[in-house]
Amino acid sequence: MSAEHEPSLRDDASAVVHAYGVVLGGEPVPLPVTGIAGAGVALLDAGSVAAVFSRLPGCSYGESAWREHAEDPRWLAEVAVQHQRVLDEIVEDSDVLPLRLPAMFRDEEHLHRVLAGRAALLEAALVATHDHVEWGVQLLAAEQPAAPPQEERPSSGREFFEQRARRSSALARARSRRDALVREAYAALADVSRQSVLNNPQDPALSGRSETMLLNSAHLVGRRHRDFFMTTVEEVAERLRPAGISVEVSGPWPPYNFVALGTEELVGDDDG
Amino acid sequence: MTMTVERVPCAENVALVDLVDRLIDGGVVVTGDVVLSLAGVDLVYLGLRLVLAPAQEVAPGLSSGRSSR
Repeated sequence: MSAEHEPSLRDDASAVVHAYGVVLGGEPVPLPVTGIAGAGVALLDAGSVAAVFSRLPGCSYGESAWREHAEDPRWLAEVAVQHQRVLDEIVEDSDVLPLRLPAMFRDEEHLHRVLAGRAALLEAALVATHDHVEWGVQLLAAEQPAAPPQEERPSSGREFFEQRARRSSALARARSRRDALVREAYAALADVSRQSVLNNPQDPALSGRSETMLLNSAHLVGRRHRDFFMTTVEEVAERLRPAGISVEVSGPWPPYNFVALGTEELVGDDDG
Repeated sequence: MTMTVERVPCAENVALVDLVDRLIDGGVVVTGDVVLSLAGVDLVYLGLRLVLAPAQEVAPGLSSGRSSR
């Protein structure tokens, strides 16, 4: 800590505090050695909850840095990936609530005050997701349902329209069969999860993938049910393979999709 | 801002998309105080969406005709 402690982040020469996530207080939590920019990672206890944090150089990660890089995808992606790398390691063994970015505080005292003021809510969220992790599941179709093969060349206008109607209803049947498969798959996964949420499929233009995403779901699964969940994923994949649908799993994630703590509850304007 | 992004930091774009998905819609917010104005935070969310934008130029990578400048 600098000798002249300036409480405002505008003094970007001093250090700032970046918090990765919140864990239960008073318990030992194995931490990764390094976090963002190679900084050390430590725990800040605030009673029932504790924050996992790093002290970072204010000039690179302080308020003006965030402001300056707010629209800089490379900088944000770098911070997001390093933020997540720390959470990835923690979630292997311990429950952790992931913080959204920017998770920046003036100093330890500021972070402590913010945590202490919201300790009850944070503790409740930790208790609600205790011993559970999040798994992401995506169903991807390499191709659109195929239209039936072209019939004989129509000999009349009426025949042309009949053929077209047959083709489009065959296509509609293929689509609804596929939708049913996807619904069944989601139901099977939800059956072995404590909670499940459906998210919007990712836009192929953004993900850079050629496949069509049919399902983008997140599942809160007990740590000890991991194998059971994976077996179900295998079974689902087996059933979907003949339909040309592949299954991808990601995780374990900290429970991003299952901590319903939005800005309303946790934002205070009394921290100045 | 120029869109001449050669590479996003994460080796796997797909994983980065999944992460940004979560950071935009999920997780816990405890930072909404005076440190960064709400407008500043909103900009960060916009910026996170932009993180995904380069993916279409980075991931398939081969179709140079698609890159916009």
